[in-house]
Amino acid sequence: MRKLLLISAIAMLPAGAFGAESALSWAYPVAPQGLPRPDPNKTFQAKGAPADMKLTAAQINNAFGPPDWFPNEHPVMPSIVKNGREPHVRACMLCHLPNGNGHPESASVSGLTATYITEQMHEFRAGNRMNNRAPVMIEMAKDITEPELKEAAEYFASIPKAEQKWIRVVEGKTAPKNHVGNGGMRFFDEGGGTVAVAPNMIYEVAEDGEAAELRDQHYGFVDYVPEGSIKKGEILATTGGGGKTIQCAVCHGADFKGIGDVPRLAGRGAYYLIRQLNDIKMGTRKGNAVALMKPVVEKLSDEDMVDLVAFMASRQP
Amino acid sequence: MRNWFAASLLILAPLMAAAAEAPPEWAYPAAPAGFQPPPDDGQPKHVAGSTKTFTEKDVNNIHNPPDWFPGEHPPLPDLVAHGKEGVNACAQCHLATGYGHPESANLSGLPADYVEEQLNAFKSGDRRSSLPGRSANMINFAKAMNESDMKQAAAYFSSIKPVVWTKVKEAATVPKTYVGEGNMRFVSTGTQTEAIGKRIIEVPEEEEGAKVRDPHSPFVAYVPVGSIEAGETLATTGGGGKTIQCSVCHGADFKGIGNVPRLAGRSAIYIFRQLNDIQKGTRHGNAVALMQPVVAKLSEDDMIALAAFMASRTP
Repeated sequence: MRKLLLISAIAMLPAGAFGAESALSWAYPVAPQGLPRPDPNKTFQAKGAPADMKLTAAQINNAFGPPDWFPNEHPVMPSIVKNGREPHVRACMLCHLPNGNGHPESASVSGLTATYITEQMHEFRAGNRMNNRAPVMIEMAKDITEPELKEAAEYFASIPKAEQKWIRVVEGKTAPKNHVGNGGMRFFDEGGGTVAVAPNMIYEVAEDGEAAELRDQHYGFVDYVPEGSIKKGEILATTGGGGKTIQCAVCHGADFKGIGDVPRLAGRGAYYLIRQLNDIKMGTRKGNAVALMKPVVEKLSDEDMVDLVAFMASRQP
Repeated sequence: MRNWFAASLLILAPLMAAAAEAPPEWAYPAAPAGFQPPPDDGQPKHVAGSTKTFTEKDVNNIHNPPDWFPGEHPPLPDLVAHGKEGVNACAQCHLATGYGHPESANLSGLPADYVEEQLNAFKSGDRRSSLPGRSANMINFAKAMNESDMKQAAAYFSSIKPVVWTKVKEAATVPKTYVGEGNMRFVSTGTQTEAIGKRIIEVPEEEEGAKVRDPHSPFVAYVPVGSIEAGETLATTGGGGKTIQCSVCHGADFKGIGNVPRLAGRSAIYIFRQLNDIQKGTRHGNAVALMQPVVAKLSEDDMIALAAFMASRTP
């Protein structure tokens, strides 16, 4: 019943709100149906993980106990982050990883302020953050307790700067051929080859496909962005483009690393960033703090947003 | 030895205070030590348009201040009307309508989350005045309030529609004034004037109305000649990198966006105090961090100009 309500709420959102019908649908990737099931007995190991740590796909994808391959590389993890709480609150690290840098379909939450993270969970709960990935977060946000949320928020806020570098940006006319696979992530095609990068397109691909599937926190993502987009994004971000938008630095800081509870943009994944710009423009992400972003996004074209996020993803976090 | 130490502290104290640069007296009005209000004549007081009467004692009752026009606002939450132990009734200084007096703050129509956030900032020490001790009342009240108290009061003041409450007038000379009851500035008796200088002089339009907490009794802010236009230029252009356009966060008409407070039509000396306290670092915190680069390079004249302009705008 609860699920049904969520689904009907989503059905009522304007067409194109999730980019599903728009030129930005690539930023809202969904795993294709009918992917081959992994051999249930096969075990996997992240490179450099303890020798005795070999896990099956079911263990790696266990929402209430996903793998922590490198437990010495992060602060002590609260139980809600590590194991979640059955039945509704999945381990945060399942998708956001122990370092909080996350996968393209979720969000990088590392180094954001605890207040901002808490506020966002409240916004999910209130229905102020909607898109095709949101129902999962909404379900958890409705069930998580305030003390659990505080612990999780403080944990991800404590991830040091050095651990936040996660995205490599490559600008060019073409990108290596890639496809959407498990978890709605993009992987390089085994056969090689290249694909054109249109001016309103970004390919965010796992640096190491197997590592990404193993939820290995040692391998980040590459953003293949259109030729010239970083410079164009920088001009928009720093000048406002002659009234087209507002200089990002005003609220996000001179280095785009955030001010106060305003989140950092520097070095976050292009897919996450463009979904936020588009969701705010479409009105599916709203609320009091987001009201400040309305005049920022309202005149931006898809291509402007691609340029902005290419620039932001390329900055040092 | 101890005496000597105490004596040396006494000698140092004014030096230290001077080093911290006392904020301008006109923006942080305080009645002089030992100020005695005129004796209470015990007579019932009236205000135009209200059938109610209150005595001087009623007017100054911190747990039941006068509500001259109960039909003009939504029902008062108990905390706003009466306060509680350790908390004066909000209406005492902010009035039942939230319009407030220049020494407090105009809360009408502010976002409820913002009001609540400010109470928490008083509580945590993030909101202190650059005049030491000036925020003591609000800090103590905030500490004695629980979350539900804060929410009630915040929701109430947020629901009130702001009115023109500060009339801004540019003037080279102003009436002679003094600071008296309630740390409010009043026009001295007689017709003497003085140069405005680099000051904002904010006084009640009708002294008696302000003294009895009449919510129909607005204020006049005298500001230096040319300050409104200078403030507008700074606010709308950023003054060539001196500050950031206020509209980015406070809205095109400076009426606020989301949880960012309105500036339009608020008390000029209140706005000046906030700019100054943020610049001096006694008002800080996560949301205020955004204001740091805004105020860092402002001179006192700039802050006067900005405050004059904002107060002059329609709320």
